[in-house]
Amino acid sequence: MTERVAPANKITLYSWGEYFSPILLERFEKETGIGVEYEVYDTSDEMREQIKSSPGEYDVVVMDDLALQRLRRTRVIRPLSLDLLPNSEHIDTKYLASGDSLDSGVSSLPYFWGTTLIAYNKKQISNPEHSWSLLFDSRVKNHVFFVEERMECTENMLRFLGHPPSTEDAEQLSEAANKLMELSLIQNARFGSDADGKDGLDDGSIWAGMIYNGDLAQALLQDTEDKIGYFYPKEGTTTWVDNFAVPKDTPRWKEAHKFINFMMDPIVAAESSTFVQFATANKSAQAHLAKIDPDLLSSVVFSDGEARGSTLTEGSPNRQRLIHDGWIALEKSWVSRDAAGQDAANQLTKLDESVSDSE
Amino acid sequence: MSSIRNRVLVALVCAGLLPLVIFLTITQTITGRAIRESEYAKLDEIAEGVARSIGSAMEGAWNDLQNLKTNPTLNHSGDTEEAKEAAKAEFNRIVSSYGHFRDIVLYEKDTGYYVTSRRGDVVSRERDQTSWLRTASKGKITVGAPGIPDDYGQGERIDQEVLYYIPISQFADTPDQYVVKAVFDFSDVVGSQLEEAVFGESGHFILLDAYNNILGHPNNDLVQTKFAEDGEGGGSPSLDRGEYDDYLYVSKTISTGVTRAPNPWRLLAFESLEEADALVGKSNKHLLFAGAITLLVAIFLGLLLSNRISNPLTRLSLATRSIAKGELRTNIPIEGPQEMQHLARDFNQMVGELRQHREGLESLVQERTSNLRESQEQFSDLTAQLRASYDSTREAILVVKTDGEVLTANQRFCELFGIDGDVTYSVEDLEANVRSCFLESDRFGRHWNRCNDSLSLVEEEEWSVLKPEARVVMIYSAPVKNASNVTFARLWMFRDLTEQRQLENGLRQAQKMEAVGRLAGGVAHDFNNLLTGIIGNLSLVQMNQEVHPERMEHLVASAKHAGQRAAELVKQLLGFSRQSHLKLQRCAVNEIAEEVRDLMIHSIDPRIQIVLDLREDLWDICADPNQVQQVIMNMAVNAKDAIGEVKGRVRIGSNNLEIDEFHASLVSDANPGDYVRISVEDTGSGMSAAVMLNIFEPFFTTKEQGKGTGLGLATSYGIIQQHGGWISCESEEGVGTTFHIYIPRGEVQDLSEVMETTKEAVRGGTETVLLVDDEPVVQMVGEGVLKHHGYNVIVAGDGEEALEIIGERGDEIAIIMLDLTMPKMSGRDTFRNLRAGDYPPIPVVVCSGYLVDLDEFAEETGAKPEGFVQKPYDSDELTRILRSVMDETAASAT
Repeated sequence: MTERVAPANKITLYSWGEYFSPILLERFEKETGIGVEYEVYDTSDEMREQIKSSPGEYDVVVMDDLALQRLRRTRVIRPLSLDLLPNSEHIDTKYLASGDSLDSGVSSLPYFWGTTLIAYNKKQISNPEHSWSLLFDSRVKNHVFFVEERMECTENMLRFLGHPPSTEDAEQLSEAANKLMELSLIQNARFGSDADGKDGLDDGSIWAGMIYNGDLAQALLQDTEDKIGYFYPKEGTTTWVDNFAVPKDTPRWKEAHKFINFMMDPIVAAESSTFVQFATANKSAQAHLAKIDPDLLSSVVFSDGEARGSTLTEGSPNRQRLIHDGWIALEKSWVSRDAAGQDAANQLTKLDESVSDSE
Repeated sequence: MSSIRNRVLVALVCAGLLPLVIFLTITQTITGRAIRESEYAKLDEIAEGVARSIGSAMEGAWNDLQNLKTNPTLNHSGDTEEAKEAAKAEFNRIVSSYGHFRDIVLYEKDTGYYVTSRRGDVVSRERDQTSWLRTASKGKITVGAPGIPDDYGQGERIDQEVLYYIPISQFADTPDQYVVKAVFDFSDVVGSQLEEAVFGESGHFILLDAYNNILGHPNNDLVQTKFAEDGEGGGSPSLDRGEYDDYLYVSKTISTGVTRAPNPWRLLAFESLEEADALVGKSNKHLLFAGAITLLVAIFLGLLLSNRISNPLTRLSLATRSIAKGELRTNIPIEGPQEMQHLARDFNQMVGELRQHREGLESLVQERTSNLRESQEQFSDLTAQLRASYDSTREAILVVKTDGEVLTANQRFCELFGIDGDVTYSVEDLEANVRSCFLESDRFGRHWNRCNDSLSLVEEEEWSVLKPEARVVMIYSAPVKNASNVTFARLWMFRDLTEQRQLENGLRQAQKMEAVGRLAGGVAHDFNNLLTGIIGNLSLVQMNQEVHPERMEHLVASAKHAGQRAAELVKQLLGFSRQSHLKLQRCAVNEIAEEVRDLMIHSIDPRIQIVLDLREDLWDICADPNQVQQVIMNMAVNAKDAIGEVKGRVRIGSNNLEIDEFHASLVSDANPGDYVRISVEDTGSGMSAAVMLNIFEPFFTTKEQGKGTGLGLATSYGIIQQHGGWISCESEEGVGTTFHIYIPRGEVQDLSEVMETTKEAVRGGTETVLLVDDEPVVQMVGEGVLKHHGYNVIVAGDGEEALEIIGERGDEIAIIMLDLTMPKMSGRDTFRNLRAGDYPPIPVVVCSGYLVDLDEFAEETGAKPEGFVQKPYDSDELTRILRSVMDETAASAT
C-alpha cells in the first residue's frame, strides 16, 4: 500500500538560491552516485507551504529557524536520524534549534548562520549613525532597501523603537508596523530578497539598507570602488540560522541523510562557506577555512560581536496576527505605490509625448 | 520403573492420556482456528463499519462543499467591502450550519492573498502559497492531506484539519477569481469516530495514510508521526489481516474515491491476541479440565489394577523370602484371580515337598555325619599308625615344599644328619647342615639345588656322608604331586647303604681272593708242569752229557719247547689281564676265519662239520690279527670240545652290525656304532645258566683237570675288550651254544697305534750293554743273546750295583737294559735315580713281563726311557730294539 520508491539516484534539494556550490553538488554525486536537483524558493513562507502541500517531493530542505520551529511543531518535518549523520559531531551546538541536542535528538542541523546589519553607500553617506534611523534619513529616500521578511523587519523595527523584539504588546507591534509603512511610503523603501539588496548596493541604487552579513560580504568583495560601508545598528539586530531538515514523507530518507552528512563534512562545509561567503555553523570547518579563505574568517561574515542579535520569535497567535495584519497592509501599500508610480510614469510619458508632439 | 505396579500404572496413564492428548490437540487446533476466524470476522465487520463511516464523513464534507461552489452569496458578489462582509456572514452561516468546518477563508486565486474569512484570525490571514490552492485556482476542487494546523500551540490537544480548496467566481462573466478554503475539522469528525470505535478490552483502530503517517490513533499524541518508526518510511502490517506484535489485525482500505484525499488511507483494526484467543484459552481450559479428570481416572484405575496384579506377587515374594530363611511351613492363601489361585496352590505344594525333602535330607545328613565321625576316627588312627611307621622307618625322609618350606622330616633324617628335631630350622640352615655332612659337600649342594629347583626331576644317587658318622647313603629325590598333578613339594629319601656296601665290598674282596686263588693255583699248576719239563729235560742233558748229541738236541728242544709254551702261557695271562701288547693293523676277519678253519680241519673228528657263513662285504676291523685268530680259534676249539666225539657242526659266521644306543646300553661299557660280529656256533651239549655266569672267569672250566687251562675264554674276553668290543654268549642245554664276538669297525686311518713292523735284518753291534736284572737265568740268557750279536755285556744284579757301575764306567756304556721287577731298588727307582743324578745320559731300555706305557713311566719317574722290551725276550726283537735305540741316540747326538 505504501508507495515505496526504489532507491533513488536523485534527491531534490529545496533551498535559498546560490546556497550551494555546484562543484560540491557534483562531488556529492560522484561520491555517492546520487544526483542533486537544486530547487530554489524566494521566501520562507513559500517554502513552508510548498513542503506542506507536496509531500514526497522535497528531500532536503534548507529553512530558517522560524520556519523550522513551525514545521517541527506541525510535524511536517521529521526528526533526523543521527546515526546516519556521523559528521554531526562537527557542528557548533550553539546553533542547534532550541530543544535539540546531539544526545537526545535533532529536528535539523544548522548550515549557515548570519546576522542582519545595515549597509550603506559611503559615497552618498558619510559617517552615518550606527542606527536603524539611517534608513529613515531623508538623504536615502528612494534608495532604501529592506529584506522582505516579515518577522525580520518587524522585530528590527521594534528594536529601533526601543521595544523588545519579542513583544506581544499590540501597540508596540502597531508602532512597528507603522514604521514599516513609513519606510514603504515615505522612504519609498524597496522590499525584496537579500539578493536584491546586494545587487542594489552593487549598482549603487541602494544607499542604505538591511542586509545579511553574507550578502554584505559578497558585496564588499565585489566593491571595487570601496563604496560600501556597514555597521551593526546600536539598537540591536537579528541573528538567523539556516538549517537542513527532511520532510517526513520523503521516500529518500537515507539519501537525504547522506547529503546532509556530506554537507556536514568539515572540508565541504568550509568550501560551502567560502562559496556562499556565509558563516558555516560547522566548527571543525574553521581550520580548513583558515587555509582556503582566511579573509572570510576574519570578515564581517564571522563576526557577531557587536550584533547584540537574537533569533526571531514567533510568539503567540495574537502577536502573529498583529504582525501579519501589519504586513499585509504593507504589502498592499507596495501594490498601490507601484500602481501610482506607474500612473505617474504613464502620465509623464504622455506629457512627454504631448510635448514632443506639440513641438 | 521396573515394578509391575509402576509399569501398569504408567501404561494405563499413557493409555488414558494418549487419546486425550490427541483429542486435545485436534480440538484445540480446530477450535483455535475457528475462534480465530470468528475474531477476524468480528474485526472485519467492525473495521468495515468504521471505515464506512469515515468514508461517509469525508464524503459528506465533500458534498457539502460542492454547494459552496455555486453558493450565490460567494459568487457574483464582487470585491467590495460589502461583498466581503456578506461573504463573511455567509461563511459563518455555513460553518454553523454544517458544523464540521472550523473555518472558511477566502483567498485570491493564484496569489493566495487573504481576502476574508469567517474567523479572520492570524493564521487565516497568512498568504496561502500551497500547491493545493494553485491547483484549485485552475478550477478544480482540491483536497489537502490531513495535517496539523499552523497555529497549533505546543501542549494543546492536536487536532488535525483537512483543507478543501474550492474555486468560486465573482462575476458570472469573469473566470473564478477566488478560492475558498474550507478547514475541515478532521479530528473532530474522524478522530472521534475512531475513539468511539474502541471495542472489547483491547480493540482499537489506527488510521494511516499512504505514507504510514498516523491520521488517527487511540493515543492522540501520536498523530502525524510514522506508524512503527523504523527510521525510513515507517512500517505497518502489510497484509489485509494477520498478527502484528501481540495483536490480531484487519486492514481496510479507504480509497481516495471516497475521501478525495490525495492518497488512500488504511484503517487497521487491532485486537490483542490475548483477547482474541481468550475464547480459545477458555475452551482449552475446559479440555484440560476434562483431561485432568481422565488422567485421574486413569491413575486410579491403574493403581487398582496394578495392585491387583502386584499384591499377590508381593505376597508370594514375602512367602518365598520366609521360605528362604527356612520357614518351610509357610503357605500362601489361595485367593484372587484364577491364575493367582493356581499359582498359590502349586506354590504351597512345592513348599510341602521342599519341607519333606529337607527333613529327609536332615536325617541323611545326620547319618552321614555320624559315619563321617567314625571314619574320621579311623582316619586319625590310621594317621597315627602311618606316623608311627614313618617315624620308625629306617629311611630318612624329608619333604620340602616348592616354596622352600620344610613340610616334614622324620626322626631318621635328624639322626642321619645330626639335626636337632626340636629346633625349627629354616630351609637354608637345614640345607647347610645337611650339606656339610657330605664328603663332596659342594657337589651335594649343587645336586640339592638342582633337584629342588626342578619340578619333575627324579634322581637316585649314591653319596658318601662323613659326619656325624661315615656312611654311604642312597639319595632318592622326586617331586610330590597333588591330585591335579601339580608339583607342590619334593621328597628326599636317604637310605643308609653303609652296611650293604660293606657287605658287598667284603664279598667282592672274598670273590677276588677266590679268583686270584684260583688263578694262582692254575698258573702254578701249569707252570709247574712246564718247569718240570724244562728242568727235567735240562737235568737229563746235564746227566747225559756224553750221550748222543741227537738225544741232547731233542732234550734241549723239548726244554725250549716247554719254555716257549710257558711264554705262551704268560702271553695268555697277559691277554687276560688286558695288558698284552697289541699290534693293531687292518684285519680281514673273513681271512682269519678261513685260516682257523684250515687249521682245524686237520685236527678234528671228521664227523664234525666246520661251516663258514661269512658276509662278503664285511667291514674291516682294526685289530691284532694274531690275537683275533687266537680268539676265534679258542672259540672253535671250545665248540669242537662241546660237541665231543659225535656228529655235529661248527659254524663260523661274520656280519656287519650297527649297534644303537639302546642295545649298546644293555652291554656294560659298550658304545653304539658299527661293529663286525663274528659268531661261533656249535651243536654241542650247551650250557646251563649257572655255568654261563662263570664262563669268562679265568681258570673256570668244565673240563677235567688237565684238559684245558680255563684261560681261553677269559683271555679271549680280555683281548676283545682291549679291542673295544665284547663277547656275548647264548646257550641251550642239549641244543648248542653260540658265541658272538663284537669288534668295532675300524679303518686304516683309525689305526693310530699301528706299528709298522718292518722286518729288517737283525743287525748287531759292538757297543757295550749294561744288563740290569736280578734273575741269574735272565742274566745268562740275555748275555748270551747279546754276545752272540757281537755286543759287550756288563751285568748288574740290582739297581744300586747298576748305578755304581754307571758311575764308574758310564762313558763305556752305550745302552742300559733295565729290568723293572727287582728287589731292593726297583727298576723305576733305579731309572729315576739314574736320570736325576749326575750320570751320563745313557739310553735306557726297560724290560718287564708286563706291558709298560712309556709315558706313564715318564710321569712316574720323571723321565722317559728310550725303549721297552717285553719279557720273555724275543731275541731278534730285543736285538732290534737295542740297535734302533742306539742308532737313534747316536743320530740325535750328532
